[in-house]
Amino acid sequence: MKQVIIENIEDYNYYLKDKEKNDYKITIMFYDIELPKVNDCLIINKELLKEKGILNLGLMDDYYGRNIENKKDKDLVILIKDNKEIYLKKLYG
Amino acid sequence: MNQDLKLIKKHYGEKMMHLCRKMLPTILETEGLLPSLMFKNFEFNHDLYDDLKDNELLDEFRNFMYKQVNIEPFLYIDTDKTPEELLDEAGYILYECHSESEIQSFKRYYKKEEEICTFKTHRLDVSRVFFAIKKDVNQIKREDFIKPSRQDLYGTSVISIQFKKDGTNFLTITNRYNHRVRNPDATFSSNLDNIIPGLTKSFEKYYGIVQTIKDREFDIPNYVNIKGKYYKYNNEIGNIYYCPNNIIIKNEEIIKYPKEKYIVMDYFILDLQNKKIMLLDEMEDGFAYNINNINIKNIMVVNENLDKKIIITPDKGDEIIIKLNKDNQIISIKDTNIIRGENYFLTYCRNIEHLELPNLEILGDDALYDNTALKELELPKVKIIGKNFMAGEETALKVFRAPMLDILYPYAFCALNSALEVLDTPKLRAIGFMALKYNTVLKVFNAPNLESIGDFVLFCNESLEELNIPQNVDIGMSFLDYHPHRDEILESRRAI
Repeated sequence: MKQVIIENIEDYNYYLKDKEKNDYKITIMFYDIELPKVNDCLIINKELLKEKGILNLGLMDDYYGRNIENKKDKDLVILIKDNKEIYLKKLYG
Repeated sequence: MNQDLKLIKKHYGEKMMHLCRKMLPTILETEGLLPSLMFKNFEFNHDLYDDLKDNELLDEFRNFMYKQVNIEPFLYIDTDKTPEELLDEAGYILYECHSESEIQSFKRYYKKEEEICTFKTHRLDVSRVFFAIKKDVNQIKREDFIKPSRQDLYGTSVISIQFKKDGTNFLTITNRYNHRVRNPDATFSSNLDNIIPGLTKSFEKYYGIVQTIKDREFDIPNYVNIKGKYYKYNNEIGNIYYCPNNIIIKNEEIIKYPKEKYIVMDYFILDLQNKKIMLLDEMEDGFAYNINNINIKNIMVVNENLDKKIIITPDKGDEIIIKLNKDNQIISIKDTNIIRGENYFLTYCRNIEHLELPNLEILGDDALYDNTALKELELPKVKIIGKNFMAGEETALKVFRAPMLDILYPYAFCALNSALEVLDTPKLRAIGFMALKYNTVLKVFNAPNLESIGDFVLFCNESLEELNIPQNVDIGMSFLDYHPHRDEILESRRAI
């Protein structure tokens, strides 16, 4: 898992940067939560940072994604917002 | 069999050899080319075929290999037929959705809890959305498909073809099973021509949709790509990859430990000459601590088919026996000498199926944290177990017996465990916060000496039938919150 900071947001496009100063641009659709803002952080699997399509993220009990049962699951994403951790997961389809 | 295929069979197994023969005939035409490409891109590994197949990556493997020699793996056929005509030939009816209500009209084709998240609205903000429905969709029944597979008749009977609206027209083809199958958003390997030849060019011609990204990252779960070569790994801890065959990868450097001197087992480096266990990066592990604090007379390694047995003979006490599987993961440990297991005892060892520690009395924090293979465990003399015991993964533990156990410290004894059916701890006095929080199947909880129960213990349990605890137990918040007969169970509790 990697921590990235949200540097900029344009519509659904999120511009992210990690501690090693690598840049990422991912199209993310967040469902059922207040949208993140610039300077919020994501803790996210490296594989998800390679997404070229749309990364859909929803709440842990959302049935459009797999059941996540451990902290190392590749579909788990943690949004750090206002000093709170919000657990999200990748949705499919 | 030609020499190239013999080499593939030797280093990657027979199934891989057959796959290469079937999928890579053009590459095989050049003698020596296939082995050289495979050796360059994949560390020797007889599991490669199974790992590709299990993750529905066989087509992706083919495409990857052809890209290595700049051969376009696919010839996109040109056609004058429209997408509707082509898909009609393939047995589908094509619809484009221009509104949210049109998208929602397709929801009825999906089984509940298998719907695609396209139905959560706003997809048209980012994608152009089509649905292709098999003409005989009403004859294809979900209940007839007991073991879903991405490309089976049901999975492909209703697909959504979506193109990202960012100029790339990045393609996603969703599956009617959705997340019940692997890589559901790459149905037909995300290639329209796999539905019917000509479809890619047809969408270009008639809808103006030109895909600028057709190549996908070739990622294989539990493989790491280091400088272009794929290595299978057993554990990844702190960005260090512990691989089979005595290979460790740190900071992109491949380190091969000589097999006559070392055995890399899970994340332990057993030094056969100096008779100790090394750990990298200041890692701690109570098992390694224990081994390094006894005087070892001898270490013997016995090969048992593809598995290994390591026999450690200490100066004092009985032999310690460790068994490894073919990938050098620890599957069994017997140590009759150990009395105290320090913190992080076997903490990252996922695959231990058998653990025999008959004289263990104290077990520290974070023991067996990542284990998912133990089904039964008896610790006949253990009195104290620290926090986070088997707490990191969904454990398979069904039976836990600890007849002398006095205290289970807080934070999640098997918090994620949903399988435990038998918890035999007759002397238990205290069970800490979040113990067995997600367990649903425990039927009998026998603890007649219990004095306190922490918050969220057995929070999700719905199956408990017998609760043998004293009347005056101090019970924390949310104990048995999901149990349908919680009040009756609590009233019926008794001490034997």
